[in-house]
Amino acid sequence: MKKIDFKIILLSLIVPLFLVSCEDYLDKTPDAGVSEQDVFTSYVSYQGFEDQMYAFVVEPNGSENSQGTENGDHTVSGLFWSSCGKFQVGNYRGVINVGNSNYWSNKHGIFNVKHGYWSAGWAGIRVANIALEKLPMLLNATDEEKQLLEGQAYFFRAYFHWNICKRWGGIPYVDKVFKPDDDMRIPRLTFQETVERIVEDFDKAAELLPEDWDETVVGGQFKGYNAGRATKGAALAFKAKALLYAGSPLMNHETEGSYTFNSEYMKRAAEAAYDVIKLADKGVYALTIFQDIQKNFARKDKTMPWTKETIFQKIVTRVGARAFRAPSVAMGTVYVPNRFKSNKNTESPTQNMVDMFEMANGLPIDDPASGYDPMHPWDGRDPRFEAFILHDQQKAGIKKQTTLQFYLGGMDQRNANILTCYLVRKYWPVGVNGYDKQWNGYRYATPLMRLAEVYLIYAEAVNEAYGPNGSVSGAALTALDALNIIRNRANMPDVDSKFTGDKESLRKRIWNERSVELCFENGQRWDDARRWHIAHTNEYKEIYDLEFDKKHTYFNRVKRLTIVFEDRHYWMPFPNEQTEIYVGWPQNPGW
Amino acid sequence: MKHLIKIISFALFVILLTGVSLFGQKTKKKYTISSVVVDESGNPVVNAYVWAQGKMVTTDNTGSFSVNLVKSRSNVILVEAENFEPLKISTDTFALVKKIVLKHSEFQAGSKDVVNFVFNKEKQIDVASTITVIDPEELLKYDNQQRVMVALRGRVPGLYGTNNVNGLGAAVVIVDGMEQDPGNIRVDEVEQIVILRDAASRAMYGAQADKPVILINTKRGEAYKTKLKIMGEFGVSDPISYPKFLNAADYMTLYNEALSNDGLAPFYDSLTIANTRSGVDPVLYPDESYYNSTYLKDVSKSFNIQTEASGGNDVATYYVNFGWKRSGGLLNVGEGAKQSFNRLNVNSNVDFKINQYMKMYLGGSVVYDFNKNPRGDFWGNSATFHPDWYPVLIPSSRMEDSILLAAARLVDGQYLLGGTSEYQTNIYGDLVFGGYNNSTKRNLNFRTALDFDLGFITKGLTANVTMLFNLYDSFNTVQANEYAVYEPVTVTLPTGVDSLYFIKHNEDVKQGDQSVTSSDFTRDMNVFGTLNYIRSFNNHNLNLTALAYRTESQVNGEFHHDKRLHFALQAMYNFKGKYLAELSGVVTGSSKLSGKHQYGFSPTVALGWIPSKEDFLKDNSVINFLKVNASFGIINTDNYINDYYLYETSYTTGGLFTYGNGMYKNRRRRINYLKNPDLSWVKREEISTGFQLDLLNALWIEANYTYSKLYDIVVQRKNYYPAITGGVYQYENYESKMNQGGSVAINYHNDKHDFKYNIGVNFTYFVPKALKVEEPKYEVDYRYLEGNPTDSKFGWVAEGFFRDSADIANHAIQTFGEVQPGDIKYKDLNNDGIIDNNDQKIIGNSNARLQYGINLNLKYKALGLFLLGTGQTGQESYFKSAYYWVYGNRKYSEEVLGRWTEETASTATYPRLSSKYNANNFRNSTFWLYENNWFTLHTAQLTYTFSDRLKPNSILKKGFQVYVRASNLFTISDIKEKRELNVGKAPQTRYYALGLKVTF
Repeated sequence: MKKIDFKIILLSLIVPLFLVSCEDYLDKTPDAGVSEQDVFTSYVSYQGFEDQMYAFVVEPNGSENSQGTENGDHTVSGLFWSSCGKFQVGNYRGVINVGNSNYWSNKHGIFNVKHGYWSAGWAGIRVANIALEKLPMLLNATDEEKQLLEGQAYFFRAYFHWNICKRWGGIPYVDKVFKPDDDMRIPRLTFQETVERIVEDFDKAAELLPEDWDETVVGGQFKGYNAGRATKGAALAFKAKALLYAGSPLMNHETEGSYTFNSEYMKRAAEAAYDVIKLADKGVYALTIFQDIQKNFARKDKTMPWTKETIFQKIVTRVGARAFRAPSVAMGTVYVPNRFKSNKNTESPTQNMVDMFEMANGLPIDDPASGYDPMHPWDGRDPRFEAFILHDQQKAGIKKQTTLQFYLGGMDQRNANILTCYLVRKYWPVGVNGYDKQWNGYRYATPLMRLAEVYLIYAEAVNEAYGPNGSVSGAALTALDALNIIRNRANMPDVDSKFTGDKESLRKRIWNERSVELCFENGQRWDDARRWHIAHTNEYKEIYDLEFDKKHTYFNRVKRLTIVFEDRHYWMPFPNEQTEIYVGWPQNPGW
Repeated sequence: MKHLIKIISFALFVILLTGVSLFGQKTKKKYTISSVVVDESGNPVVNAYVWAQGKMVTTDNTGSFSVNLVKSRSNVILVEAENFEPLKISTDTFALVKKIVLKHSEFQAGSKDVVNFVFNKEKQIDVASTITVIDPEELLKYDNQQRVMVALRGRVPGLYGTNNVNGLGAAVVIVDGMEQDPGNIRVDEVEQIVILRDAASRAMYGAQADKPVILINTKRGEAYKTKLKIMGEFGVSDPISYPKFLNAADYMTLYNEALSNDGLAPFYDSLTIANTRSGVDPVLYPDESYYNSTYLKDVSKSFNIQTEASGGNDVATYYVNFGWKRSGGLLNVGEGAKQSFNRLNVNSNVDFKINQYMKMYLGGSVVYDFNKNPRGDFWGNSATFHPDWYPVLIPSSRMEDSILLAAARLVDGQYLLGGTSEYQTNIYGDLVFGGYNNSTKRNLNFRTALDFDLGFITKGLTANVTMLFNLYDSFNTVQANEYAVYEPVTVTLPTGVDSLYFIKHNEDVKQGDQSVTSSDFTRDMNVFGTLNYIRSFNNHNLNLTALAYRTESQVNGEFHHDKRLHFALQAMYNFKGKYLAELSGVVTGSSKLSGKHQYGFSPTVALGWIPSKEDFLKDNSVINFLKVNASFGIINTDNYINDYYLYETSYTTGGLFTYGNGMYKNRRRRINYLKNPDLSWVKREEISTGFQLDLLNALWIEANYTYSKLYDIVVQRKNYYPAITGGVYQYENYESKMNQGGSVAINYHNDKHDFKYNIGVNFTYFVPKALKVEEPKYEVDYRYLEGNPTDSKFGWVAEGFFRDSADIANHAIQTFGEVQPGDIKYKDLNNDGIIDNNDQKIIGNSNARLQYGINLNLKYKALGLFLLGTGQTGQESYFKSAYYWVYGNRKYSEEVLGRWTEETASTATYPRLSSKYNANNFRNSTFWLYENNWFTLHTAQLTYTFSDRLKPNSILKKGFQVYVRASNLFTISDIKEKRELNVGKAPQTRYYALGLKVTF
């Protein structure tokens, strides 16, 4: 009897404790984590997933330590270890491969393959592809909501590919979600092939996305507060830009073998640009009046720099001193000298850039009839000169101390970080500095696409395809008209008739106009110099500055430096670890 | 003094409680027994312990003893002697046995040599795997150090520091079958410590066993040995050194120099500096140093008292331990002077037989820590507050504004607290008016076990079920008061006379209530069951164990409970005690893995041979003992899988995303990583071999070699997949590393004469190596960790200071910021003319390679001296705290005196000063790297054991000892001063103590 008792005790203690309850003992705790179901079955959370893509958009002027977004003949930096400095000496590898621990080497640089266009772009592409793949999971949503989600995914897939291929050349077009076991050795496409895929996606996006989110049911709930969202106009404008690039001499040389414009691509670019201009004609977009032009770039009232002219930009929420002088990512780290309580690293405009501003009468300064006076080099110039650039004896702010001293021996001239005698004003409203301290409402953003650029794309594409007075079929707007719209807005007269006779004459003025209008915006000048295949020329490489005394009794043009630009610099190098993974991904020539 | 009274009254209370049984039964009938204790050959056993009815007497020179007993009580006596097996006999049989014969204990095979592995037990000599066993009772005879992990230091071959076995990292410390904080245990409470030194010995601990495992088994009551032990120790801690900061005038001068180096105007004018230096008016020109008697005591005092009672009989045994440890702080002001750290602990257990088949064990312990601290961080603030910021105390006579003065709260009735608008924290004010911060930690442990004798099924079969609980919580009680500080300012009156005014900042506010903050809570539960079968067939000895073990740990704020589960079978076998084998098979389960990978199988095997038992060595007079062993094992572990559910795709809900001007917000959803259904166990493969040798009964040598490889470590292979995947990766089993080395221990003892001595040394040498590392493609080979020690330190190679601008121009370009003469120059390792990340290489390693321990134990009659020290070589450290990396507005230490200037260029030991962050100088380089080689004498104890000199039947014969002890007595090292200096926290101390131990 006793023995049986003990067996029962043993069984009842050991067996249930250790064996039966072990079945699910190690399983996942219910409700732990966020599941796929939680993310992809409602519009709000699906949109939350797609919002990541907006975050992956790179703000070109928002990165730490002198990013050198211009990289060309527009601005130079005295800090040779900044990425601007590295661009100047042709050290593009240094630009893309900087370690994380290195304080001075642009750890959040926009070209750094760990942080910028490259990695954020591929991450964005992955999110876009997941978003497209998971759409069937979204059952409880309206057709409009589904379209918006699908449209944004196509838009960003194209946008991120575009941002990489613009600087690195043709790349594989990734249109699927990779699983770890998949064969990922997709070969590189040519630039034009890549653009064809990009255009395909932008077309789909343009079909699906609204002209204005305020008019949708989803966006209507927040009428007036939808700035920053991907739209039909943005898709079409970037499509136009991609086509313009694909038909430009550098890219055309890859497939056609000659450094000339490809008129087929120019026609298509013109048509796409005209589609955006039609939206502007409908009232969706409009050019800002000249007095308010800075509202496109920076403000002091805490609002987002977004106008009717803006077509697309990163949603930058940094406001106040944080946006101006925070140690990590701030405007001040790029264009404002330290004495204004910025963050020290300053890229400054070159004399080359200043020389491109015409006289107010519409003539270039080297034209004998222009009236340019080398002893008063800053007088009587295109109004945009004063709007975008600061020079000696001008006040950068309100208080007396903000007066700039770029004469020999002046306070600002002695700053080793600033190689030239100018500062960028475009993003720097009066009063936002350490003397006036009006930085509480400071907010800035770099337009990634604005209507002015669309007109310039149209002008360039039409001029190359049909000549100065041509237009796309069914349109009254000629290349010249489009160009003059931009000039007139800045209170500049029409292009002088000396330059309107043929495509080649007008081409020079269009190139100059792009340089002036789009200066300091997202490396436009550098991209243009590359695609036009002029970046290796001395005119582009030799960087000048002015030297003068306090009383302006003399002005000496001095050469500050010569940019290193060889053939290989037309494309950024890929990171080695990328090109060494498989043969289908060759390194760009010369790297 | 108040505390002392408390202690004494407590001790009396305990004595009374146990004394009831001693004194309460005096009326009973008495009788006397006496006998002689001899060994197997009939020689008398001198100084044998005879326990009877709670008393103990010892045998005299002839081996004889006599003891008075009470008739109606237990008639069992217990006879023990060193090197003999204990013997229990009934007084009823005394008439039959003329002499009590004790048997010599066999080497490593006596009743004291049974190793308790928690799940099973085995005689030490029969264990085939590599272990070290420590008997605290033996230690306590000459070393009264009470921290249980510290007791291992310098004593265990293969052990780095106090808990890192074979360089595998911090050990899992299992206290009575459960992972617990060993800080709660004192050496006095411990029965046995077992250090498991190879994979085979650890295997039964499942997934945890990839790390070293140390078993601490606490004491139980012993039948027929009634003891009441009281121990007290009083000690003082003497600070070794305080940081040396510059005085205000020197600081000002050098800060101006730093500014000038940066091309900036001086901050302090020469009049201020001169007035500060002359001390003309400490209110206007303050120069505060904090490491002086205003703030600090010379020494801090502490005491530690413990009482322990144990005893019992065949049916039930009990054990109780109570202790109180208190140490004071060094601060001498206000709440700081009341600073104290207290620990109360009670640990008790009972074992009792329910019937002939069942035994029960119940145990529990409570550890209660309560610390009183002032608010404010004196040690941190004193290391950062500049000497010139403000006068700490301002004589009230200096304040002319009588209204302000009347409202002011004065320190000691005569001082105002200084401060400025920028610096409103007054170091003295924090201590006197700031309030306090009392922290409390409570740990409750409860253990219960049932043992079943299943001999009725088959002989030798037993079973056990054990349940263990641990509850831990902690909280802080804070009273945070505010106080006003006064900023002195000079104002020039219209008359042209300077006058002193004060600006008041803050108010004096005493909080009416306390706040309770930062509660921390952990709950652990372990359950295990074993089936044991021990049986000998002819010369085959078998010890089989089946185990089921599960743990669960709940931590406050953690969603998932940490759960583990494993099942194990172990067979220990030997043939004639000469050929040993140990086989284990463990099935481990993890909640971090899923599907077919949720369970893994870990096999281990150990083999041993004892040649000294073979005929050819049996009677060898030189080799007394020789054992060789080897083991191999694979252990599955989830220790390096850092989170749950890594096997499935993870999404998280992220921050708010805002469009436009902030109207429409939506939470971002993120994808973190991809699923990997193949995610599996991390594995450790270990081979270990060694020998133990005893020569001439005097020289002991043991050595061991171990190769341990950890592979399939889980990482994300960010550098493997092409960029086009978009940076979302899966977790994979990929990396591997190994650790290889050995240890040697040598011990020589001589106890044949009155002067006895024992000298021991041990050496441990291990080298880790990274075998496979997920790392980026570097442009230079020397940046890879793969193939190099896992603890490599990467840094730049300093080449002195830049001499002048020509030197800078001729040198490779350093890309960490502008350089000027006096900045550190780095070597261009890849000769590309640029100093950047590609110029860093391995310049050191962070773990010591060689560690050695030396101990010396001398005894002359009742007087003993014990010394224990350890040392290490083969490790490098950066000295890079704010004390050494002085830049910007950091407080200037004496380190900067050797700074570079044009005049001192040839002798400078420190780079030129900089008033900003200087990214060029202050980065990991050989300039800041030191070889961290040292030897420290940790313990010296002089002991006088009275009981050795007492009469055989003295009441104190069970134990009576006084000692003086010193800890951390000295260090030998090239960087001794740096090693012994604490900055920003309480100083290191040398500890001196006087102690007393009495056993009744």
